[in-house]
This record gives sequence, structure tokens and C-alpha cells, in this order.
Amino acid sequence: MNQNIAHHKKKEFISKPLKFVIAAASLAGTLGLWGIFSKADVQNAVTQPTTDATLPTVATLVSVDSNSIAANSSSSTSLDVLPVITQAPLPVVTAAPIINQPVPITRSRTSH
Amino acid sequence: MHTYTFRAMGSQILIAMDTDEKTIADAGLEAANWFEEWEQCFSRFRLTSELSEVNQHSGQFCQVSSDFWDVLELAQNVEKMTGGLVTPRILNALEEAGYTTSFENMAENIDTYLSHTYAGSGSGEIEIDENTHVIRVPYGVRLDFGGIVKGWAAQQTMIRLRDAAPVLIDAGGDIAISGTMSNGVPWAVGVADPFHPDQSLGLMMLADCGIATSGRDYRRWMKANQWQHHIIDPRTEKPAETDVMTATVIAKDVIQAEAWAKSAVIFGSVSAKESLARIEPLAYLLVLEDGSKIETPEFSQYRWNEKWQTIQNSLLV
Repeated sequence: MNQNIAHHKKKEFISKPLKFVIAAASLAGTLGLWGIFSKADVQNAVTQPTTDATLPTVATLVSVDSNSIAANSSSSTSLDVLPVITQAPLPVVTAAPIINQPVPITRSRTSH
Repeated sequence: MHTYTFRAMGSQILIAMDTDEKTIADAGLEAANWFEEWEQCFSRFRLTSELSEVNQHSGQFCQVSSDFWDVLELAQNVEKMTGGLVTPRILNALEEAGYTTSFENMAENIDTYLSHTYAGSGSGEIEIDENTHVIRVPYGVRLDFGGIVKGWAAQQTMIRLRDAAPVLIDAGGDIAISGTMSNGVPWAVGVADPFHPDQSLGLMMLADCGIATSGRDYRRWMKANQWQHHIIDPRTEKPAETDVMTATVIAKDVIQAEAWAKSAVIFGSVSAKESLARIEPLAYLLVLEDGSKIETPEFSQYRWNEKWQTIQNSLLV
């Protein structure tokens, strides 16, 4: 009987105490790392500057020949030569009588 | 304003009472019963009407109702007034032309309808006894009060209702008007264009008068490939040959207006101008078959214009 039990007993490669140590270390390690990381995030958030400074605009610079612009521009910007826009005076509106033709109550017609 | 409409005498009837009080205006509801009574008395399309009874007993003495007596007397006066142009003794000629049933029921194959006539349909005087209201229509003569009775009915209704409120009665285009409206402004009445029935030839401002239009733009039919209409010329006992399509007349009452309008159609435009001018200055508008119009200054003075606007504004202030 004892021989049969011994015969069917599984072979253990890792001892139970070792399993326990590995499991505990794994749990502690996971919790510990999460704690460390979260603390670090909070610290970063606190130390981050909160200024709303305008972000720099990236523009492509193109070289322009200022002399050619001056040569092509023939119009004067003097106020004296600007066209004066005038508006014709509105006609004087006399109070026209409001004609309210009454609605006929009926119509005379060939006997219907 | 309260208005009531109903059909009677083959026409659309309008009762307009210028009052805001419905209890007063409800008196107008009674008008439908009056028209039914009168239709039972004067319709030539009802075999049991008093008119049919009289026509069936031509040549015999008949006692007639007071309404029949009044209309007969009126018709005889109109006949004298118009020199015989508007007469009630035209029923044979009307039927000969094919107008044998109410216009609404008139069949397309009018040729198959009654076409017999009596010799001398319009001859002879009607004997009357004023005391007993007994009459005798000459043998072979049959009466049709036609347009006269419609005008008379409108006038009677107006007289019965005018004490309750200002009133306008439109009996198929024959219009009786009691006076001005409650605000003192005349009633606005249009005149239909015979060539464009949905359009108006003008707006008339009317009070204490009658207006009527007679014409051959409606109630006409085809017989023997010829257009026939209901306005009989008693001189020929045939539908009047005339260049007048419609005649609209404004007179002191609707009965006179109707009589003169019918006379103008029968006369034709040339004779109408001469004949009607001799009788009295008459307010009329003739529309001829070519579309042209003849209008007297008396008619023009009723037309709506800015003058009426001023009057209306002054009354509203």
C-alpha cells in the first residue's frame, strides 16, 4: 500500500518554500515598482512649469528684393489723391397716402 | 360682419349683416326659409309651384297668393317701364330656345328636350282683379318671372332685415343694399369681368341702392349648332341678337337695376346708349363682345378712388 503511494507521488523540482519566496518577491516587486513610479509622476507634475507661453511659430523665410517692389509700385499713398466718394442726396420722401382699397363683400355678375 | 350663404332659385344667395352681435345677425338665418317659400311659389321647374299651376290653367281664372300678386304687378310695371322689352310672358320662347329645365340640370343633348310652343305666346293682356287677386292669363300664354323674382326676393329680404342691422343681399348677382355700413362707409361691391370671371372690372362703393348684371356669358347652351342664351327679345321671341356681353346697372333698387340691365342687353350697345339716355341718366357699364366697354359718368362716380379713402380715414379717426 505505502509502496503504491510512494510510487504515484509526483516529483517536485521546486520546493514549496522556494515557490512561496518567489511568489512573495514577485508581488512585492510589482507593488513596489508601481509605488515608485506613481510617486515619481506626482513629483514631476508638481515640478512642471505652468506658464502659457505662446508656442513659437515656424515660418519659412523667403528672400525678397525690396528694390524691385519699390520700382513696381507706382501708386501714391498720399491722401490728397485718394478718390473722394460722394453719395447723392436721397430724394425727399413726401408722405404718400396709404391706399387701402377695401375688399369687396361680393361681386355683381350674370345670374349664377 | 356676419354672412350667410345658401343656394336657392338656382343661384348662390349671400346675406351680409354688418353687426358684431350674433343674436342680431341670426335673423338672417331665416332668409333661407323665405327663399324656399318663394321658390315654391315662383319656380317654373317645380310642377307644384303656384306659377306652374297658373301656367297650366292659362285661359282660366285663378286666385293667387299675395306674393304672387305683388310680383305679377311688379312685372307688369317693369314691362311698361321698359317699353315691353322685359316681360314675364316669355316662357314659351325660353323653352323654344331650349331652356326647359333648371340650368344646373340642363343636359348636354338639349335638342331632345321639350320644343313645342303655343301660337302667339306673348300676345294678350293678363286680366287682373285687384280686390280678389284673381287673374286670368290669356290662353296659350305662360309666365316666367325669371330675373324679376330674384331681384324682388333680394329686395324683400333686405327690407325685412334692415331694421336689425345694415344689410346687403346678393341673390345670384342681383344685389340689394340697405344703406351704408355701421361705420358710415358704403359697401364695397365688385363687378365681375365676363371674359375673366375671377377678375374684377372695378370696385363700386354703394349704399341705399341696387346693382344688377345681366348678360349672356352664363346660362347659355348649344342648340342646333347655335349658341342660345336666356335673355329673350320679346320682339322676335328668340334669344336677343346683341353685341352686349354683359350690362351692369346701378339704380335706386335692385329690381330697376335688373330690368334696365336686361333691357340694355336686348337693345344692343347702339340702341342702349340712345334709349337709356332718353329715360333717365342711368349708371351703367356695358361690356361688349369684342371686349370694349361703355361706361356712363353716373356709373363712374360710384367707383372707389382716393376720395373714399379720405372719407374712410376721417370716419375711423
